[in-house]
Amino acid sequence: MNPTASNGVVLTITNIAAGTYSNTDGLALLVAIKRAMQEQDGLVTLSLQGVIGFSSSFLNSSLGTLFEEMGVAGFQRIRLINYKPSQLAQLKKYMADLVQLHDAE
Amino acid sequence: MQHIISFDAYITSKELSDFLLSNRYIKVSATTPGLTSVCVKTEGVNTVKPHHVTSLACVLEEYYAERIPISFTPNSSLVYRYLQNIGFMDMWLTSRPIVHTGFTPIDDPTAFAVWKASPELMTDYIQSAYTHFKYSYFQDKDISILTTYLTEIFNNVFDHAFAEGAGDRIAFALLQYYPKTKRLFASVSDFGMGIPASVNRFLRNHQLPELSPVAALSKATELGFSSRSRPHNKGFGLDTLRTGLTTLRGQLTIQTSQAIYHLSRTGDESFHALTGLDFPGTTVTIKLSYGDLEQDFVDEIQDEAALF
Repeated sequence: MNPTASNGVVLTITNIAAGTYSNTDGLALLVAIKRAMQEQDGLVTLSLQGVIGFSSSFLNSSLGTLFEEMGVAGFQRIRLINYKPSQLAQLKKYMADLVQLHDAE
Repeated sequence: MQHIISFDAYITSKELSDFLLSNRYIKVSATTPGLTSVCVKTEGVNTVKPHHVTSLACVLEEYYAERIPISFTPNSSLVYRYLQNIGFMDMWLTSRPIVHTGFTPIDDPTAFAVWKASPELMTDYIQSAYTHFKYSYFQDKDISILTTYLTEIFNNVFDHAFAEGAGDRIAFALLQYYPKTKRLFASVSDFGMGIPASVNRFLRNHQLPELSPVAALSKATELGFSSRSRPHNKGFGLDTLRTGLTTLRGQLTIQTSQAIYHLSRTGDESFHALTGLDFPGTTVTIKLSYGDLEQDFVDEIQDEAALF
């Protein structure tokens, strides 16, 4: 966890999880995000530097679980940096699908 | 007695299914008294696709696990040379350890290692395949999505074909790039229970009516449907494949049990019943075209972005 100059902390995903494809890796990220949220009141910024792609398993165990526990409100403190446009698009689609399914339930 | 496997690049699912079923160990061992060895013949076969190789690997693995020697009749066919070049024949040598572990990069830059899939090595395999093709043929294209697609396919195999209670935990993968047409194929075959059986097992356990194989396969591709073979499943995997490949004008084919699904380059989806067949396990193939992939965005964006 690296402090930012402004508000909150930066979590570099490649430093937290061995990969971005398995549930185990997703869980590692989830734990790190929740800890960062508890330890300070500012933003939690996820750096995607060096990340190639994600799987739904990884996302289910990280951002998906965070959404189930905290809802949209929890994501008001989440930001992304060092991402590629395709990665941002993929993550936004994942979150939109999650909300859609959540609303349907 | 020796069992001969006459290999061919069967075009239809029926032909491929018949070939696989008639050569599976369980059938051959029951009908061939004193089975001592297996010989694969490829004479006159001059074309082959990754799904032929991965499904043949599943067949051979059953004999290999029983320590039945496997040989290939030398011949001048292109397929014989291809199987030799990609290290396929070496996989079945009796001098090798009986358990297939790891994968060996091969000399042919157009192909990426035939691999017996395992959860432990999945990330290594996927990242190695990505690196291999990215720097060989796709330097200016964004193929990061390949890692996502492969993961979805493998996780589907591990969650369903390798689920608790599943019998044969055999799955093989192979990626092949065709420089002339600039197309990348990736196939994964498993000899698990098949997607319809997995879906219907879930429905049965929840006192819901079972579906026909086609309806069950269709159900499996829906966003949000999961057979919950593992607690984390949310039903995103096959939808990720479908929607992602549709955007990239890619193709997706799933052959499983008595059903087949196909997504064409134009985004048309179709389901067909494989009436009277029982395709062993599941074979998934994706196809990507160089020309349809987006230019690689080399620099990462520094600006902060929110997800909502």
